[in-house]
Amino acid sequence: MRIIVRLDVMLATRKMRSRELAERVGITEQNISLLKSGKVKGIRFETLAKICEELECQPGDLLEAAPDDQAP
Amino acid sequence: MRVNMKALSLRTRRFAAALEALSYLAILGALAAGVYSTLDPSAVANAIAKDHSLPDPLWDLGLLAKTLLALAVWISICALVYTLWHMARLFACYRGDAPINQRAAQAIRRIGQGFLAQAFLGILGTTIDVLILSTDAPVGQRRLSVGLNTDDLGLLLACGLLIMVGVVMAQAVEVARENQEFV
Repeated sequence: MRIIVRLDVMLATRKMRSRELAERVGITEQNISLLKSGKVKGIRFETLAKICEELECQPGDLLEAAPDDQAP
Repeated sequence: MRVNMKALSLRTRRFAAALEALSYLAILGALAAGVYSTLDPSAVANAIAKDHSLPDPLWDLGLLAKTLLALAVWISICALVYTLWHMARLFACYRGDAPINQRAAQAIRRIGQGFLAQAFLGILGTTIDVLILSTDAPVGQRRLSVGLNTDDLGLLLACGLLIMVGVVMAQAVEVARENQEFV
């Protein structure tokens, strides 16, 4: 089982750029890119809460658990 | 493996650079002392004799005793140079922009090992040095000296502490690296 990050979808839905979200959340744009591509080991609850607050969504809108053989 | 953290202050980095240079100078000094003691083993013999209340002037040393003495000196110098080399490496880490890393942790461990070797050589050296000098002693003046003092025990404890600090620091670097992978 792996976790798929749907941050790019939410950013498009809310019409927000990665840079703007990074500034509002207080992390680097590089980390936002890493998060979008799923190349991070994990996300702190604090960061997740801030992202949800800025994008007005729930964690389930951003994160999806999928079997390993399923394409993102 | 580096962990992103703020570099040390400029003053601290300059101090580290100075200590690094001093370490290399000490290495050169140790090597020079080794060469001198090899060329003039009687100077070393007289120094040992003075420390251990042996007769002054000391008896003439044969080739075997001189060779063994030079070997003992060089073994001690190797342990010292090993320690100083890793001290220089540690100071080089602190001089750079990433002071907390696996290299620094490894250097601390190796410094502890170097000091440990020097502590053991210090404890055994007393016995070995006097034994070497005694090989050419006249009959009735041969002796064996065994000694252990609180300084040696203190040094052993300090070595153990340094080694533990190095091991724990390596763990801390690993934890920090893992932590960095969380956004």
